[in-house]
Parts: sequence; structure tokens; C-alpha cells
Amino acid sequence: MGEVLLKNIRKIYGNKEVLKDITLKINKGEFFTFLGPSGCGKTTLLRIIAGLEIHQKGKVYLKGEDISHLSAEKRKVGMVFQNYALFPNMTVFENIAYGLKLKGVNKKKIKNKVKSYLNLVNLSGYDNRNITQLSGGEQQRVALARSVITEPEVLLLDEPLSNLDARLRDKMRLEIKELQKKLGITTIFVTHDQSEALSMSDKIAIFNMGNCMQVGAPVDIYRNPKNSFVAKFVGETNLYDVNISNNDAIINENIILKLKDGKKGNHISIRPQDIMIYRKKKNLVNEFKVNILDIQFNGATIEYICKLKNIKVKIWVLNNTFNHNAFNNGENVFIHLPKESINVL
Amino acid sequence: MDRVIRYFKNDILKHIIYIGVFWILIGFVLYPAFNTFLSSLKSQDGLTLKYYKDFFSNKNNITVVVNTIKLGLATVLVCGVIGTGLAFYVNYFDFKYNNIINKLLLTPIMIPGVIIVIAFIQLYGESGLITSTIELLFNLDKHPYSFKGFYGILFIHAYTQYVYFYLNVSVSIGYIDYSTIEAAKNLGASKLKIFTSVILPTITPALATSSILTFMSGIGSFSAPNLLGHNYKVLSTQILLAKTNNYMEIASVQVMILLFTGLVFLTLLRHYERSTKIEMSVKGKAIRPVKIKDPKKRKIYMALAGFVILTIILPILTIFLLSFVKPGTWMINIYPKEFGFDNYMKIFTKSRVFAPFKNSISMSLWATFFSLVLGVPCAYIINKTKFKAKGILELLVILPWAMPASTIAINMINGFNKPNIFVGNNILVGTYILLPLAYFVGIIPLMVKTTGVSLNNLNNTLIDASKTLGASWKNTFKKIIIPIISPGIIAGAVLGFIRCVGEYTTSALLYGVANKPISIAMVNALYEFEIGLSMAYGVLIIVITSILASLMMKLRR
Repeated sequence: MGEVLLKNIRKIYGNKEVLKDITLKINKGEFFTFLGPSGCGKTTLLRIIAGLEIHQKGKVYLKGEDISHLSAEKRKVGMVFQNYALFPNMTVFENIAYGLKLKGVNKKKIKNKVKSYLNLVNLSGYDNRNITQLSGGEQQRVALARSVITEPEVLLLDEPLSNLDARLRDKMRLEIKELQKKLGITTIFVTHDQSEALSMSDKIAIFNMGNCMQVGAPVDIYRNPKNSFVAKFVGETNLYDVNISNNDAIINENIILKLKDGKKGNHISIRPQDIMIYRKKKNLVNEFKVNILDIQFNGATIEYICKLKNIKVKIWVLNNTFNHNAFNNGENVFIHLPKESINVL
Repeated sequence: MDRVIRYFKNDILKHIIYIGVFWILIGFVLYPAFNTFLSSLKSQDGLTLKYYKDFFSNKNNITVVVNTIKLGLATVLVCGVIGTGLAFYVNYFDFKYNNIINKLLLTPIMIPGVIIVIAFIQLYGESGLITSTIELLFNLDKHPYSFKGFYGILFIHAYTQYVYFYLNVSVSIGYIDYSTIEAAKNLGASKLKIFTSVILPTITPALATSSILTFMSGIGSFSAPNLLGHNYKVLSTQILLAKTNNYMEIASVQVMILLFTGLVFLTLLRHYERSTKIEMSVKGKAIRPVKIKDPKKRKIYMALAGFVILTIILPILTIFLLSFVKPGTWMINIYPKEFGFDNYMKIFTKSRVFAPFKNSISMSLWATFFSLVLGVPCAYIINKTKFKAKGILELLVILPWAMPASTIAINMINGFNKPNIFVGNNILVGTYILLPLAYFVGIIPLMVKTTGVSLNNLNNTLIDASKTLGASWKNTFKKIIIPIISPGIIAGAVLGFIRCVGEYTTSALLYGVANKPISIAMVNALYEFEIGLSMAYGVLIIVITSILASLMMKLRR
């Protein structure tokens, strides 16, 4: 299993630069996610690593070796496609055996190896089934087995969960993660779903408009977004334009928030679950009187949309026995925005 | 530098293929057509419009042009009404025999036109079986109708060419989103309003496409005008006359006029087709066939079904029946009385009689083979690559569609009656290969289109997946692309073969002693009063095409 190094990658389609000077390092055995909205360049970058797209500038290294000029079939890279791309003219066995046959592995070895990989992805006995007889989840597993059976250095996953229903998606998240751990294979996962990225990855790179906005561990990215795009894209947040002077963030010239020392920037972000809401004034720093405009029941949480002067603040409260039906629509309450929870961007 | 080397190393085969397909298309489609154009302008004194002036100064010639256009338009009208009516009849009503009727309605596509013309003559001609029966039943002194001239040709066209409308409209009925009909009903629309505002816009593109196909085959039709036309002259028959008399300039002028007429109609309808194209809703609800509950209406429907089945089956039955008539026994009687296997014995025992059958099979195989060699790469380049000149390639590929069969034949004569570079400075006129090459040119669009449809259904990620699994381009093509698109290729090849095996028009203009095809032998046998032999040839073709067609259907499933 190898590490991947992308150095100054640029890709231009016509007049549009879809990847702008991307440099990234994916460590050996890491589960690394490219996260971003559609059209941000994440899939293009994945396809460049696979050798399916030719980039104009920069180099791709695998285990320290420059593979930029190698064609796709010579790269030792396994890939699972969004639509799985299973060959409809072949059975499950033939699909999984395809890569091994091309390598000239003998029939007996192929048979044994395919059996063990079918077992690995919980599809024992499916050998002779047609692809059309499989459910979405089963197709997904065949695609996974097919891509790892040749023991590639890196496994690339291009939004493999997007075609599955919500329940199956959760199940497959676990299965993919387990398989990756078992094989210890360096994995690059592309998704636009932040919850997938946060729950599965060792490290995440956030992309927007061809730029890599931030790289880091999921917790780090969630707690300390580097800019307003990352704050907004990863998780829900309250994001405001501010002027900062003397550790005070001023919103709309009439709301003043105290900050931790020495922070500079033009925006502040505070997660809805970091804001406290209560009825009796506590005289805390950054405490404000607000009016509840709307209440949304979201299952595990209750969302309050409150009016603070001329801005709106979103607050999440855990929906447990104590908080259930705690506040009413139109009620005046107090909220507290702790200094430590405010990110200056 | 190594990137440049890699580019050339990978792309050398690609470039060879690009050059190859252009070489063939220019050599066999564009260059011959250009030569016909030149031949219509060239005189001893250089380029001139003299032949065109001569042509249009003759009143008879103008009548021929008008006749051709009139026949084309009438064919569109008649086939449009019949084909669209039948499409609704089969697809709109829930009836247990619909499946059989649907299959039967598609049979005319499998039977070469010349066979149908001969069968119709045997049924409805002056001494035809139906005509004689009516005369006998009603004790008539005169023929009850005249099955010749304009209406005779139109009758045959209606029978053979409604299929385009039937097929396309049937497909587009499948696209009608039933929820839009329900929405219109909910908004208070009458049945007529629903038809004009919901159903008609959906089937309009199909009507436009079918009109193009029908008009082109209507103006290019040859066997019906040749065998039934009598005084009703059209361009295609006049082309044969001019060619037979060796007036190649006149033939070229007539070809150019026919080509021009076709192109004008094609351009007008393409324009209309584009302007009426509508997007189908993403998640539609298929139309539900209506059950006929009223017993009276059911009876009418059944009677109509019976009539449709009889009309389609009758000519085919006639061909089979007459193929068993003993030679020389059916001259004076109204109905044939002596039957046997003599005609078939004759075909399979006398090499002279067998030769046309063998020729047609081998020439059609050659044409199909050429169309595969050219068609598959062309379809791939057009549908799956970013090749810059693919627009030109597409144009060259569909050009034969605008050329009626007689046009292709004259082009082949003009292109290959002198040495030319595209075929290694050989003269092909008078050789065996010219006719299969002409067949090949005629089926290029069909082959490229059917392969193209399969290629469009082939998801690009399958190719990518194969590459990431370590397959070279060659392996991917062999193990993934070809197996997946093969039903499309086979369908194209089968349809192409069927079209060639009974082809009459090009054959009449290009055949020689060495390659006399079955269609010519059939017509000759008819003129020599060997109706049984002519029909036995017909049966052989129908059997072959039916076997191939059912094989194709099986593979498609």
C-alpha cells in the first residue's frame, strides 16, 4: 500500500480552470476524503490519480514514483465508480475475476481468490448471478471486491454511496470502512455528503471551485474551519459579517460580541448547538434577549430560529425529556454565545 | 517530450483508422456523387448548363419531375394516415391479439419491395387472383378496377411504406406521459383538445421523421413504377431508360434533380423536426391501453383486426402458394391447378437457375461485411470520441440516406468508369464487385445508426473501469465494448443484409452476366411467364430474411 503525493496539479477544460494548483499528500493506509459541492473539481482530481484524465500541469506520485505519464491500466490503482460500472455481459464471478485474468493469473488461483473476496464482501454463493439480479448494495459490494482483488496500491471511491437509499447507505459506510481497515489500503473517497466524510475519514480535503480550501482531521475541520466556505459547507452554522475592533465583533453596527483575545477576520461562525437558550436572564457575557420566530422539530434535536435585533440566530437543543416543549413560538427568551465557541474567519 | 512520444505511440492506430474511414467515405460516397454532378455539367466545350436547359425545355421531363414529387407527397399522406392509425389501433386499445397484429404489421420491412410488387400483380393485376374472383362472382365483362399507373403504385407504396409511420408513432406513443392526459382532463379539456394539445405535440417529431423516410423512399421507388407504372413515368424509371440508352449526361441530370428534391424535403422537415422537438418529462406514467367494453365496438374492432391480418397475410400466402405451381400449367385457367416442388428442384439442381440466388447471398454478405468494417469505427468515432472532424464524418455517413438507390447506382458508374486513386487506379464498371459496393453504400447510414444507438447506451464508466482494472485499449474493446454493443451491430448487419438480398433498383442499373442477382432473375422469370419460379425465388428470400430477423429478435432480448 502506498502513499500518494499530488504536486501542483492544474487542469483546464477549454477556458475553465477546474483545478488550480492542488498539492496534497495522502499517507499510507489513510482513509482520505475529497469533500465539496458538485463541480468543485474533486472527481476530476480522483480521475487524474486514476489516469482517466490528463492534467496540464503538476505531478502525481505513488510510493514516491512519478506516475503522471502512465496510462490508467498501468497505475495499480483500483477504482469504484458512482454507478459501479459492473460489466453487464459478465456474471459476478467474471466481473471480480476480470482484473486477475488480465494479469494472467492461473485459473485455480483466480477461483480461490475470487471465492475469498466474495466471502470478504459477504456475497458467498453469488458467483454465477447476473449483475441485473443484484440489489444496489450487492452491486456495490461486487464493485468493491473487483477493485481490491488485484491488490492495488490505492483504492479510489467516486461517490459510491450516492445511489443507495438512506438506510443502506449507513450500512455500507460501515462495511467500506471495515474493509479498508482489514486490507489496510490507502483509500481516497470522493463525496459531496459532509456526514459521510465526517464519519468515515481519517483526513478530509475540502474543495471549492477548483481550490483546496482546507485539509485536516474531521474534528479539526468541524471545530476550526479556516474560512466561511468551510464553516458553511461542513455542518450547520450561524455565519455573520463582522467588523472587529478591540476584541469586539460588531454585527450590523448594533450587536456587539466579545471575542477571545487577538482574533482577526471579517466573519464569525458559531454552531447552533453551541448556543445556550433559557428563560431567566443570567447576566453572562454575550447574552442577548431574543424572540422565537419559528420552531422546527427534527427528531433528535429541536431547532429554534430566533430574532436578535435585525439578524436571525439558529439554535439546536437536544430533544430529550427535559427540553421537549421547553419554549413556545413568539416567546421572548435569552441566548448565550460563549466566547470559546465563536470562530473568527 | 515523453508526453509527445506517448501521444503518438498511443494514437498511431487511431490516426490510421481516421484516415481509413475518410478514405472509404470520400472514395465511395462523395467522389462518385461529385462525378455525377460533374457529368451533368460537362460537355466537350467545358462546363455547361446545357443538359439542364435541354431537360427542362421538354414538357415530358417536367411531367416526370411533377409525377415524382406528386408520388412522394401522396405516399407520405397515405402512409401517414394508415401507419399512424394502425399505431394508435395497436397501442391505444387493450386487445389480446395486439401482440400478433403488431408483429404482422412489421413484416413488410422484412420482405423486399420487388417481391411484394410481384405478389400484388398476381393478386390484383388484370389477371390477378382477386381481380378474376371478383369478375367471376359478379359476372363482370370488364376488369372491376385498374391496378396500374399512379394509383397502382400508390397502393403498393401504402402497403410497403406505412411501416415507418407505424414504427415511429408506436414508439412515441410510449413516450406519452399519461399524467399529462389526466392533468388535461382535470383542467376540463375535451377529448379533441387532449388530442391536439397533449398527444399530437408528442408524436409530431415521429411524424416528421417518418415523413422524411417515406418521402425519400417514395420518390426513389423503382420496382413499383417500373412494373406497374405504364404511362406514369417517374425519375427513377427514366434514369434506367437514359442509362440503358447510354445517355449518361441525361441520367446524371435526372439524378441531380432527384437528389435535390430529396435534399430540399429533408432540410425542410429536419428544420421543422428541430423546432417541434419537445422534452419528455423525467418521470412519466406510461399510457394505459383502453379496454373496449361495448360489445358492438368490440366486434368492429375484431373485424378491423381480421381485415388487417388478411391484407398482410394474403400477398405472403400468394407467394408461397404460387411457388408450388408446376411450370407451364397455369396459362389459361383462372386458378392454378397443378402443384409440385418442380420450381425448387429447378433452383437447386440447375446451376444457371441457382446462380442468382448464390450471387445475391454472396454480394449481400460482402456488402454487410464492408458496412461492418466501416460502420463500427465510424459509429464509435461519432458517438464516443472528441474527434474534431466528426461533424464532417457524420455528414458523409448520412449522405447516402439522401440518395435514392438509382442515384447511388449512377454515382457508382460515374465514379468508377475510369481509373481512380481510391481503388488503386482500377476501373470497377463491369466487374463483379461494383454491385456489392453499391449495396454497401446504401446501407452505411443504417449500420452506423444501429451501432450508434448501442454505443450511446454503453456507459463510458465501463470503459474507465476496465482500464483501471489493468486492461489495455485492445482488451477493453474486445472484452467489454464489442460484447455489449454486439446486439446493435448484429441488428444493423441483419437489417443491412435483408435490404441487400432482395435489392432491385441498384441491381437493375448495375448487374452484369457474372453477378445477376435474385431480384432481376425474379422479374425476368415473371416476363417469361415462369411465375412459379419467380415466386420460389421470393420464398427463398422470405425464408432467409425471416430466420435472420427472428435470430436478431432473440439476441436483442
